[in-house]
Amino acid sequence: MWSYEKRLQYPVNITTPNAKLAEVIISQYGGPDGEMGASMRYLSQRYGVPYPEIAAVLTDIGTEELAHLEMVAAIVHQLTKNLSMEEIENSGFKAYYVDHTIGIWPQAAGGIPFNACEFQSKGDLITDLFEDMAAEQKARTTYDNILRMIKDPEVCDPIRFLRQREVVHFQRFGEALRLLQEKLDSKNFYICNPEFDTNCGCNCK
Amino acid sequence: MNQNMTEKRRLLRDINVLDFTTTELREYLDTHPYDTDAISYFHRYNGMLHQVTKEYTAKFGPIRQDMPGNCMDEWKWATSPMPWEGGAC
Amino acid sequence: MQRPQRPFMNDMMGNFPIAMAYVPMQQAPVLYENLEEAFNRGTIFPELDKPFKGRRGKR
Repeated sequence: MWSYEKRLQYPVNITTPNAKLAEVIISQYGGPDGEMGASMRYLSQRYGVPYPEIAAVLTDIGTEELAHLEMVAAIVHQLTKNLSMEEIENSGFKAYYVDHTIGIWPQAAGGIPFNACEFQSKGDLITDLFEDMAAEQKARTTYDNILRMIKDPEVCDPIRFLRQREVVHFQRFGEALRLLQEKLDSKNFYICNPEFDTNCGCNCK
Repeated sequence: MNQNMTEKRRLLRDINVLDFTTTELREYLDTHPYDTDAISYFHRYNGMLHQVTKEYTAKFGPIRQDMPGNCMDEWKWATSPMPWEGGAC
Repeated sequence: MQRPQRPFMNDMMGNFPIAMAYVPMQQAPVLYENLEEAFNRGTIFPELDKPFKGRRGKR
């Protein structure tokens, strides 16, 4: 189960409003490669995982992604809370504003609402771990794209932190896959699904 | 007042740094569960984190649900600002 | 080519069979001495610290 700590994992202190940045950074809240997808993906994939170390990786990283979700929301909130009506009306943010004012609602920058099609939980451990490694790379690229657009160091700072976390998480999922490979038959890793087939993952030939 | 703000910021920075260190070590240990060096590092920093959190809580209010502080006349968990509004950030 | 060191693994895998991808395990990691700097950078492990410096520029 989960506890909440009344603290952001990394500080977010943005003093200059910016509708244009808010419009794109919201993608890391509810977009296809964002933190909501990441946390739901990893936390959903845990059930049925027969190896506790791999379930531990999914739990701990999935939990950290919830903390990142909170940080992204804090960034968008601070970028928008002091916007004037003129700034809103003259920006691409006005479409979001009309439906949500400056509330936080999970959607991609392009407007597609967050939905479960943005992640997969395939129930096959090899497949899910590759999904997770790909997810971390996609998130990293999204942060790269955001970083190219930012000149304000107050925004840059937490975004750079979030991006670096993706690199570390990629490594951990890759290591989880190595641990799994150890437990499977290297002559044919795909002979069975360790989450579903009972004759699986016993190092038998 | 200024001294208070500096001390609050200092303690919070320590909490952030120590919690981050233990998070990184936990995630490393999930895939390296028999690395005894990493386990000792974890216990060391986790102990320090616990101490600093207790100190911060006593002086500036609670950040953990299991450490609500000693205050008997105000439920500071609810009355203190959220972290994105000038709280623990 | 020299065989990579994998002290934690048993030898069942031998070489790396094809039709699979492999991420090397982090081994005997070093931590940043200054943990506050590590926090600011987003990792306590210097070997995982991979900053982004891309710029579009003129094409």
